[in-house]
Amino acid sequence: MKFQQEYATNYSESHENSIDLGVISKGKDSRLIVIAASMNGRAEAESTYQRLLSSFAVKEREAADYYRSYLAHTVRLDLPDSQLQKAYDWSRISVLQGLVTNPFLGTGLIAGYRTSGESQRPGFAWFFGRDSLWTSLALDAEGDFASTRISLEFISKYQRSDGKIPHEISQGASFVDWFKAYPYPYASADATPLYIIAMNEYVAESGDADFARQKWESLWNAYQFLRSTYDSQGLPQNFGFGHGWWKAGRCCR
Amino acid sequence: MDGRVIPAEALVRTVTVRPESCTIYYAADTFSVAETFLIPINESGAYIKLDTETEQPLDVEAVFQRDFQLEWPAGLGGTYLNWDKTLHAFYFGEEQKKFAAVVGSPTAGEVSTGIRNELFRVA
Repeated sequence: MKFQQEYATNYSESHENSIDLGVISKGKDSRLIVIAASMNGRAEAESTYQRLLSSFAVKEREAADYYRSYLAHTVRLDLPDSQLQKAYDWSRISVLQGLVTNPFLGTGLIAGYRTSGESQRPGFAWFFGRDSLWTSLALDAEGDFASTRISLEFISKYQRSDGKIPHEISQGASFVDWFKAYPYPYASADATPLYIIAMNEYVAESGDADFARQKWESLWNAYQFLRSTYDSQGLPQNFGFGHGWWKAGRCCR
Repeated sequence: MDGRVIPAEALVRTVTVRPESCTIYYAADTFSVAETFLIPINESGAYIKLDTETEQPLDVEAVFQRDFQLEWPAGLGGTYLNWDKTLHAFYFGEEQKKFAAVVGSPTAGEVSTGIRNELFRVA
């Protein structure tokens, strides 16, 4: 196989690195690689690294307990089909793993960890309006109202001044002029009506009417925006993108 | 092993996925390795643990492509990495000294930092 690499400098540097973890003699032994990161400088990254180095077993147990507890405290189903049982239990885990905290943006639901198109960029691990709002209906159904509320709070924080609910918020949105210089943040038609539907579902299922009162202005603005897009037949239009705007998949092309 | 480099991906036998981690099991004639990836809760970090059983001395080397950048559309500009002997780890940094990462192992010995010795190459 021929491998070509561009050289932008007059010295030779590879992007490949390696660590020799040492020789394991005959028998059983373990090796541990630790990865730590910080957005507040080297000292914090090193502190996290040192803490993780000495606590693998504890952290492994904590993580297992966290998911076990989640499964025990949301709606459990005993299904006669083992594949359906696994699918239901894994879907609860997968949805929970979509709850992501970005220190610069807040905590919200991402759309998954699949890569975007043919690239290696995890483009679906951004905060999406429609995806998080559809997912919030599932969270309500399994009784995880806290995560629904977090998700609704997050998405409403980035509502446009005219009431439109965001379609997608990049993980790097705080480092660029994401909401004004890029075409994607308010692209989709369905996030705004879904926001109203998801809030209604959350309040009806959880009884948390206080949250709806807190968000009343936001909800009203979303509704007014939606009404402003109605055509003569009362059907909402998605100005600038078209109401058939698609993100992925063959069905809509 | 015995002076031979054996790429791990050729030896994958099973993959076990749990809510908190996943394990890739590699097996050859004289050794096996269970590689577990774990993301701890509420920590900005991750683990890779290699549980090994071997009949002959086995030298384990972790090779990776460094890509220390913010995801599109953001960017950090130039980034760098240094080997920290005290930490037994690579330190990843950038010029603002804000974004940082450490990748290492308590047993880490010889490393490759990516700087090649040769100054003239003919493709």
